[in-house]
Amino acid sequence: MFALTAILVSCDKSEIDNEEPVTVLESTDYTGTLTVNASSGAFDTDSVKVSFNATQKADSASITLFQVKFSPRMPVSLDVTVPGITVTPTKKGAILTCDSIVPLAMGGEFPNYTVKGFEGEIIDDELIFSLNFGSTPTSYQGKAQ
Amino acid sequence: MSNLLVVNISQEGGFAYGQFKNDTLYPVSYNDEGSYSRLSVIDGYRIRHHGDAVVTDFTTSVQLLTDDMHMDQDYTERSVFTLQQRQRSGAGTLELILRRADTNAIWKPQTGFFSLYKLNSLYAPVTFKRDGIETLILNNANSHIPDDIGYLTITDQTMPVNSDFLIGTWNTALFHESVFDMGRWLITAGIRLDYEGGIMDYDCMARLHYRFMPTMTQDKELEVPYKGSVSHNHFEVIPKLSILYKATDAVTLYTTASKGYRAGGFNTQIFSDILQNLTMNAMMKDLGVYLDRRFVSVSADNTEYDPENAWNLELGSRLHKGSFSASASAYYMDVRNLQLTVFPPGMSTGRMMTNAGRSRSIGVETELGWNPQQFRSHISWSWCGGDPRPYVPRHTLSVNAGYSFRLNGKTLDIDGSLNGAGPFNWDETGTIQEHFRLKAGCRIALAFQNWEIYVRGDNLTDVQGRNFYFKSVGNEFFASCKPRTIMLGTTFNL
Repeated sequence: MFALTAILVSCDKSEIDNEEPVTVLESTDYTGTLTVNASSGAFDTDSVKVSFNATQKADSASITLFQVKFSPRMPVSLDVTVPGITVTPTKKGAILTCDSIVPLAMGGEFPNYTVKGFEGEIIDDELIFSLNFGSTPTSYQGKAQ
Repeated sequence: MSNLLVVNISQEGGFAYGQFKNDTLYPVSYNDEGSYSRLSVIDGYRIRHHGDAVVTDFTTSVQLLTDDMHMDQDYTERSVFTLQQRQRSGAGTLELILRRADTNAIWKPQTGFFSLYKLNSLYAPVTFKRDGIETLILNNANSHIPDDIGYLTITDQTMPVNSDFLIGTWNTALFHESVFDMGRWLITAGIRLDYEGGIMDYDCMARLHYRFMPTMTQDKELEVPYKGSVSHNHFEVIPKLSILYKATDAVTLYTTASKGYRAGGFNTQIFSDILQNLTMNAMMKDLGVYLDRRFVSVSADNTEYDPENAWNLELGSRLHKGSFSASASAYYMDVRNLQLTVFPPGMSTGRMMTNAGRSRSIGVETELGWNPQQFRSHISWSWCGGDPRPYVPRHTLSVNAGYSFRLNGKTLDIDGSLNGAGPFNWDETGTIQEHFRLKAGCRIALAFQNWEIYVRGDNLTDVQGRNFYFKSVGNEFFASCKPRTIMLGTTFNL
C-alpha cells in the first residue's frame, strides 16, 4: 500500500503560513515495465516487481528489482538492489537521485554493473526511474501494488 | 499345533558390480566401503481345530528384521557419493480359514480372513563426496550461469543428505473358495476382496556451504529441508475359476482363468535425486538467481507406484502313469500398469519403479518325469512370447537326473543337473541382451538317520554370464554370474 503522510512542521504562525508539507515515504512494492537497451537492441519486460525500501529517517532508500534480465538471450534472471539512493520529498512524492554506486546481487557487490546516472521520481502511486547498469541504459515505470 | 522359528544372521562383503563400457565388462573396482549385515527373526505359529463339521486353521506370524548396508553408490574409483541404509522393520500377520470337514462332499467350501501390518523405519543418508559435488551439483549449476555473471563454488569436501523414512503398510482380505468335486469334473471358483494401504513419512535435509564468485566474500551455509508424507489406498477384487476334467485314470485336462495382483509402494531410492535438484534450486533462489529452465525435479508425489494387475488364462493337460509323468500347458497373460524399474535420464543417482501401460504375454510350459524305483529324472522347458519385458527369458530349460543307493541304513544320493534361461533384455528398450546360457551342477549326499553330509557343485563348466544390471550417474554396471563353485555342507534334523 502506498502511504503518503503530510506533516506540518510548525514553530509559530508566520512559519505555518510559509511551510510546504513534507511527505514521508514508506516502503512500497511496484509492478511495471522494465526497458533495457541491450547491445542487441531495446527490449521490455512486463510485470516486473520493484521494491522501494525507505530507511527510518526516510531521507534515503534502496530499490530492489526482481528477476531482471540485461539481455534477451541471458539464460538467468537476477534480483538486483541499488542501495544508497537519496530521497528528496516533494508535495506529491519524492525525487530520487544517486551518484555512482555498486549494486548488490548474488550475495554481494556486483561491480560489473555499477550504477551511474540514476534519476527517478515518485509521483502519487507511480515510480519512474532511469539509470545505467554498467554500460546498459535501463528505465522503469510502475504502479504501486 | 506347530511353530516354526527361523533366525538368520548374515554378514557379507561388498557388491560385485563392474562397469560396462564400450561392450566390455570391467573388473569390480571402487574405493569406498561396501558391506551388508542382517539379523532376521521369523516365527510362525499355526493351530488347527478339527471339528465334526468345520476344520479351523489359525496362523499367525511375526517377522523382525534389522539390517545395515554401506555402498559406494557410484561403484567407481572416483569419490562421487556413498549410501548407508539401515532399517528396522517389524511385521505381523493373521490368517483364519474355515473349511468343511467332510472331504467326501461334493461341495467343499473354505472361507478365510487375512491381515497384515508392517512398520519400517529407514535411515538412509547419502554423502556426496568431492567428485560428486563437482560433477553432479557445481558443473550442473554453473552450466546455466553465463561466465560474465560469475560462478558457484562449494567448499565442503562432503555434503551429507540425510533421509529418514517411516513406512507403514497394511493389508486386509476376505476370501472364499468353493470346490465342486463331481466325479470326473473338479470345478474351483474363488474370490478375494483385498484392501491395501500404505503411508510414507519422509524427513530429509541437505546442508552445504557455498560461495558465488565474484560477489560473495565468504561462504554461506544453506540448509535444504524436505519433509512430508504420501499415502495410498487400493481395493481389489481378485476372482479365479478352474475346471479340471479327469479324462482317464492317467490323463487330466484343465483350464483356469484368474486375476493376479502385485501391490504398489514407494520409491525411497529416488530421494537422492529429489534432494540434489532441490539443493541446486535452493542455492539459486538464495542468491536471487532464476534459471529460465529449472532443474528437473521429481517430487515425493512421483515416488509412489501403483499396483500391477494381470489376467491369466491357461489350458493344460497332465499324464501320470506308473513312474512316468508329463504335463503341457499354454497360457496368455494380460498385464495392466506393469511395474518396471527405470533409471531417470542424465546424471541421476537413484532408480525407481514406475508403471508402464500394458503388456501381453503368451507361453508354453512342458515337463517330463520318470522315477522308477531309486532312479529319478525330470526335464522341463518353457517358452514365453508376446511383448518383450526386461528380465523375462524367452526360453528356460531344466534337466535333472539322479540315483539313490541304499547302503545298510544309509543313503547315497547322486544328482546332476543342467539349467538355462535366455535370451532376455536387461532394459525396457531391448538394447542390452543376455544370451541363453546352460549351466551344469551336481550334488552328492550321504544321508544318515538324522543328519546328512553333502558336496555340491554349481556352474561346473564355469560359464561366463551376467545376472544383474543397473545404471548410476550415467554409467552402466553388471554383476557377473558366480564362477564354478564347490560347497561342502551338512544338515541335522532335530
